[in-house]
Amino acid sequence: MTEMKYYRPETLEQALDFLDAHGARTEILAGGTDVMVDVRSGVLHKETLLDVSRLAALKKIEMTDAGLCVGSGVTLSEINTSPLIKKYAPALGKCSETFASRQIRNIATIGGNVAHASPCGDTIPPLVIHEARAVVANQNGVKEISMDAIAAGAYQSALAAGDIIVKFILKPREAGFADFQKIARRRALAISRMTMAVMADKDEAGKICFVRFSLGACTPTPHRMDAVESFLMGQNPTHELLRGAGTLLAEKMVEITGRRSSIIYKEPAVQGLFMRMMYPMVGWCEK
Amino acid sequence: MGQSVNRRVTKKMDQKKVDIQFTLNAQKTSVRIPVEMTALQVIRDVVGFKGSKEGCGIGECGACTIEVDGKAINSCLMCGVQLDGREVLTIEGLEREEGLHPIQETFLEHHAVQCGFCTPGILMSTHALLKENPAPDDEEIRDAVSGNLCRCTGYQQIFSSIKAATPVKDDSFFHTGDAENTLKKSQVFADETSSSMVLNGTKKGENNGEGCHD
Amino acid sequence: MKNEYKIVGKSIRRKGALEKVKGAPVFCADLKLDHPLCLRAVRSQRHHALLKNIDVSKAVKIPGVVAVFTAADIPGINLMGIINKDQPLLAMDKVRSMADPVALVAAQTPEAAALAMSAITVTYEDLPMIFDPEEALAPGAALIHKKGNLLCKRTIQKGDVDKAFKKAHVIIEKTYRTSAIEHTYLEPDAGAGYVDDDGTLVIHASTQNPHYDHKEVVSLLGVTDEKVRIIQAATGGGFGSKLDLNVQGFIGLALYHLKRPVRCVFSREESYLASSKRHPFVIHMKTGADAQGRLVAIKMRAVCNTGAYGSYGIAVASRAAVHGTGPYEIEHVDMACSAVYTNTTFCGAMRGFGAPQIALAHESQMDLLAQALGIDPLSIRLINGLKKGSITATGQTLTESAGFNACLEAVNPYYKDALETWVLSEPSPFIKRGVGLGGMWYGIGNTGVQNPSTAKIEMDRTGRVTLFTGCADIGQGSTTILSQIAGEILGLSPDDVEMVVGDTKYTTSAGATSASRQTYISGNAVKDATDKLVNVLLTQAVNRLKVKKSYLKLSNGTVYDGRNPDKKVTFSWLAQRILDRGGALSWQGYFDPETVPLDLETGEGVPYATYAFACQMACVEVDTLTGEVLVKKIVAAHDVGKAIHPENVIGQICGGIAMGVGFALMEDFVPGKTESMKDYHIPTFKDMPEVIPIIVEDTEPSGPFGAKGVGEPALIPTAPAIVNAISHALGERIYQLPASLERVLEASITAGHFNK
Repeated sequence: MTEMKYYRPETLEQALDFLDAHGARTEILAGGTDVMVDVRSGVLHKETLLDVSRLAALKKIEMTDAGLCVGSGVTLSEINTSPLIKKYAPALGKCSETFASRQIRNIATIGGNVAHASPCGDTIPPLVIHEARAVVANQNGVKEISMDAIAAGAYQSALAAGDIIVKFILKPREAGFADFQKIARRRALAISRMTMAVMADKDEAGKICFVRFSLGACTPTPHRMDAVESFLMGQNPTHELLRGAGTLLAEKMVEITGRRSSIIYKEPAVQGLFMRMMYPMVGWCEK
Repeated sequence: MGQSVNRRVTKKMDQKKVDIQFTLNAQKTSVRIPVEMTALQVIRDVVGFKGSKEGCGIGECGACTIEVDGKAINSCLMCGVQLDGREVLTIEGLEREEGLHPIQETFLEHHAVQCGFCTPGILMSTHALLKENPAPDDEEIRDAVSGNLCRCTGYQQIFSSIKAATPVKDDSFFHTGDAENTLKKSQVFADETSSSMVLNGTKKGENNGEGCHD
Repeated sequence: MKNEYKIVGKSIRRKGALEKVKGAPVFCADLKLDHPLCLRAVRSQRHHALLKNIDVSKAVKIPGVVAVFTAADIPGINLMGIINKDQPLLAMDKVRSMADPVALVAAQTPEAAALAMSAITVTYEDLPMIFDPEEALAPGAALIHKKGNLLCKRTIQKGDVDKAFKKAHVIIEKTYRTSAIEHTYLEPDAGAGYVDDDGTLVIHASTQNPHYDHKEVVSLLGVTDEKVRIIQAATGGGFGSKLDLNVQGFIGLALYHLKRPVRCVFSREESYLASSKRHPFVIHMKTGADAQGRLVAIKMRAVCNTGAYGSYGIAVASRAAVHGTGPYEIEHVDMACSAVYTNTTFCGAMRGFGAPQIALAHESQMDLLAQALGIDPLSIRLINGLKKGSITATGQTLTESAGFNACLEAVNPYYKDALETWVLSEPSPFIKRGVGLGGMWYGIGNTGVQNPSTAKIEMDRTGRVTLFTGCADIGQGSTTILSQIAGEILGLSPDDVEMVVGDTKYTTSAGATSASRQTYISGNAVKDATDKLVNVLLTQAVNRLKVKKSYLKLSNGTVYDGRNPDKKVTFSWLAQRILDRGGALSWQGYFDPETVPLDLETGEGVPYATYAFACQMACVEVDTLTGEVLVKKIVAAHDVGKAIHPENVIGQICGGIAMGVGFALMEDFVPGKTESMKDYHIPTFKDMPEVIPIIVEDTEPSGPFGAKGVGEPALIPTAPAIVNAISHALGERIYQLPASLERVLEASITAGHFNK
């Protein structure tokens, strides 16, 4: 037992004031699904738990001029049932369907998932393809951090002591095709070994006129694969094209991870998952 | 009564504690607890309801599942203090004055119970599911119970039990956590921790139930 | 499935289920105690080392710490073991794995205990570490135990395999591997104890064998039998791991010295670290068949890693050798199975005792032979299936109850349908469907040794009946079926049969809840006791009703004339009469299966009195792009002799299949790496196939109402059926379990499906 203290602010301002004074010695508590595990194993050495789970300011899902705003305190279950997310960020909605378990989805938050910076954070690839910016507040004000920048490394977020993610601003899109897929060792309650998120649209000829793609879990930090997107842009999505894109994806992944023992599986699997996820696009040009 | 001499002698006696109040199985409950305590520990060790189980302590098995404000959650992952102001339902609260809850009945009918350790968690996940959706399809049932591991039954008879209880037509099926709604009084006592408990305005030890071992 | 009985054969509400749906059963972590001390074992920091010194001086000074025990504090014999005693409760001169307990802390709080554990300093002198059985057997290898690293080797020799292989039309020779498996019962190991008013050390334990626990604790403490009482608490699963002493010795030791309440509950991590595992196997199998598909010879060399201590290793090696042929008649047999010590967590009983591992081999071999011969997998099994009159590898003639072919016939229509329609329709261009079969046989009871059960039934003056049994119900439902057996004979509802279960103060040993033996063996012991009681009642009733005994029947607490039911007398009248006249209404029952110990070289003998048989069919979908496998459906036909409680049997089948799915696809315990449930996967609801259970009843005359057993049979055919189905789907076979993502994707790539 580490004899921690507890503070539950009523407003975001109160939370920021507290973080201003005690940030380095404070652990932000939202859903608790990561924090309480750390408490149990004795690796949490902070003075205070700052409970933000009831701050209304962090719980909104709304469309504004800036984009589709998803509060950091929104739970995975709330993401699952949100009509706005289903319409404008369906890949994010999809990832919430297979996230952990229902019990965990009911309390785990998108902010917590991102801040924990686990390579396997399922919400991250969908956020990446929507070019999400995290709105981070601290004593100095508010800044926006891109998803690329927020994950500095495995389990190391770029957030500093005293920072709190307030919300994510996604570029909304009613994409014609959007998906999130994962590979895990079983069909529920399983840490992802590999995740992918995509959204794409076709023009009148059936060619890909818009595509965003992100790979997750098999690299230390999430990556939006620009090279793969460029490869696909303007093309007729045939089986061969997808195979070519998959090969390129595997190359790019290996560039990041290097050749470790797990690459024996990951190299073909990333191509396989890519093909499986993107296959519905085949035949766009014939329809 | 007071603090027994042999408690907590390893630390300072004025350990950080927080007072919280919540509704537990329709009874107003007040406890004073350390911040590190999980909701599961609050329910088991402070309140003394042993029906919710610790199978892993890290949210990987669901044996600790309880319902908080109508939602199934892993109580081993929730910070105990976060129970403050919530309506909590545990397995002890499922039974009614007039008898077993319908899903307890179908579980018996369909032989969904073997060793019984996962059973409370599965019943709570089921109750929460049916509260949200009284007529779930097979996929949704599977989804709702996939966070509860069972090593004995292989889930099939559990599935039959849940199917037999749906669609739910009767509103009284669902516990609302309403304080007016009286439920069976359960044994309460404070256990080996030095947390104290106040139930319905009476202090621990003041003749408020069996089992206080001072 | 016809049933001519009133109570047996009916799926009544289970005894104890009502309490379970209320969350009421008291598990050891729930048991109310008066300020119990928290017991924590301090475990070895080395895989293999001499224990030079343990310094507890700092630990005992920590506030809240009441005592720290080491081997020197053990008053009796500091060695445990369910077959051979090679496992110290607390390490004496050396440690053999990272799980070995070196000290036991008793403290007022978990926090004080944790501080004490960190304050204990142990000095080791490292010894060479051995993790691989081959290495352990190599000449000059460091000795893990003084008597050597080979725990045992079971051999079975019949006929002349070399000659027979020369004449075989086709020979398949392959190597199969399985990994260590963790039982992952939902309730982590737990126990609690206190000293009773009369000085008895009372230990509540989550256990599968309270009477063995009793013997072992008495031996550890060097006290008389009456000094210790073991009560089986509500037990949340066991699957073999709660047969060894996990916590009972610690509790006994603390009670002996401290004489105050204590509790010992493992965290899941400690349960993973320290409790027994399923033996990993390496199996070389060579099988020969003639042109018609008849098996002619089999040669097996199997090695299983028993870890640091023997536990059930001897039983596992024996069973693997005996079952190695599979449920098939083979004239020429040369089997050898060795259990070898290494410096990993000890391996012990785990649902199937080596049979699930060996089934991977024999069922894969059958499919490979079928393929080589151009015969279909079902037919080759029918051709060779054991039946009445068959002679097994140990020279035993099966005279009764051998329903393997009936199981195959039951699965046949589903198999045909799956091959003709299901397999041919593709849900997606990347999914390949496959269908596979798995057959099994399983000897009921312990291999070629005495393993009796006893029971006692008592009627009081009012005619009320109580059944006393040491048989531990760990969720499989034995308490219910034993009450059904007694109830059927007495004509009483099981609700009227009071049960006293698993309390060494009141019950006598029923042997372990393992080896799928309790229905058959304890069921017979209960039947024996009840028959005796009924005989006494009937004799008295004859006197009263003046009717021949053979006309008398029992029902609803009365004995009546079957030809004229109004002529009757109540149990209570009879009971009073009998007792007043100095008669006995308390009867002990006993049963020990008729076995003959196996010859040490040839293995000849009668290892079991009866065998269960089964065939399962698995329908799988293999994702050729990612290696994921989804088991869609399993049809499971099990010959159980007689289903005393059909829904219980179905529950065992479904549960066993779940375990088999895990064994086949996702479970892989790696000592030193697997730490918690985060890195060990058992199937969730979403991973389960639809199960179609088929109960086959080929009556076993020596069984109670014809019953045999199903607990372990339920799991044995599953993984082989799944592996055969994957092979059918891909055209490429996997020889190692688990058929993980990696292995399946590799097979898919090799088979050319990946780049389509």
